[in-house]
Amino acid sequence: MIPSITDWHSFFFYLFATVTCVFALAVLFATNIVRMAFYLIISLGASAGLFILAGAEFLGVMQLMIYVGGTLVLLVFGVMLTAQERFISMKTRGGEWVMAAIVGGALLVLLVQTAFSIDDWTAPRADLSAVSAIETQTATRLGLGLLGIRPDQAEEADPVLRQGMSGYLLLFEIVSVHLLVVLIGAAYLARSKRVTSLARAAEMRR
Amino acid sequence: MATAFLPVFLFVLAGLATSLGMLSMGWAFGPARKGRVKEMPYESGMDPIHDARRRFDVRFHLVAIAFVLFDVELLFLYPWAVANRHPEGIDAAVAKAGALNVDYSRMLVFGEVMVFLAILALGFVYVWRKGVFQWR
Repeated sequence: MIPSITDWHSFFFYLFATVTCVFALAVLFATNIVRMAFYLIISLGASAGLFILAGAEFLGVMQLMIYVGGTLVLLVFGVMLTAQERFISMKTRGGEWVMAAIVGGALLVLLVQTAFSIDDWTAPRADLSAVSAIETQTATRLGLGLLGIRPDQAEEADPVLRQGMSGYLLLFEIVSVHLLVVLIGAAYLARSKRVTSLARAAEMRR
Repeated sequence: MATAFLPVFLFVLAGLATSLGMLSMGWAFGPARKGRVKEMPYESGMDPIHDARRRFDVRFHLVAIAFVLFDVELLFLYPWAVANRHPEGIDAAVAKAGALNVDYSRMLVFGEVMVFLAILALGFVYVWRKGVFQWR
């Protein structure tokens, strides 16, 4: 028999949390850089599941598309383009372990302390059974914000104030211009490479 | 808490179980014969001409950057796509704007997104005509 839905939520939380932590540790202890990249994909993918469970579906999708899809492709390509003979094998030295433990431990202590200092987070919210992940609508609200509407500010009574809360349409279009710059920049890099190789070919002919 | 993503998560679980199950069944029950040809890397029937672990052409990096670029573009289209059909999405916003006597329509939203796409398409055409996508 299928357990009640509350159990499913906890089940998936523990599943994703465990997978995230285990594969994050695997990244730490692996020595082959390609395996590290693969473990990082799984760890980041599971943390995307955590974001979606928390009702932040846009953040979860962003995690999947940008980190799991994009950044790691660049990472693996970087390894493929620079690797000499064998893929790089990394060993962490003693001093680096100590340094990383201090920095990472300090951040962990800070985060745990902050998390436990928030009263709302120490117990389940009162209306837990009435909440569903789809009701948070973060993606819908974000989409409306990007298209020039702030649904959370529409109730603002003062029309002068309301004018300043018209969303982020300009930023949305500026993002497009930014991507255009990146596209042309990348193309320029690739082109200059070909020009130099052509110049080298001309030199060799001489 | 009724998670609307439960089917997705269950799908992920089923996919993992199926693939891991197939791999482990093959590993457990399959005959393990070894041979020189059988241990060769699979290259669609061709004999591999060298080791796979070598430096790749830097031009592959342009492909990777182009992928990330259009990945980010799609990411920004995702909230629009969700808001499009959501009951509290664009339709509700247009209705609210109409009640407040503000000029806002679905065509305007569509135009906004098309401007977003057109700016990138412009760059795409420019880069294409510059011959960047040619593999020379």
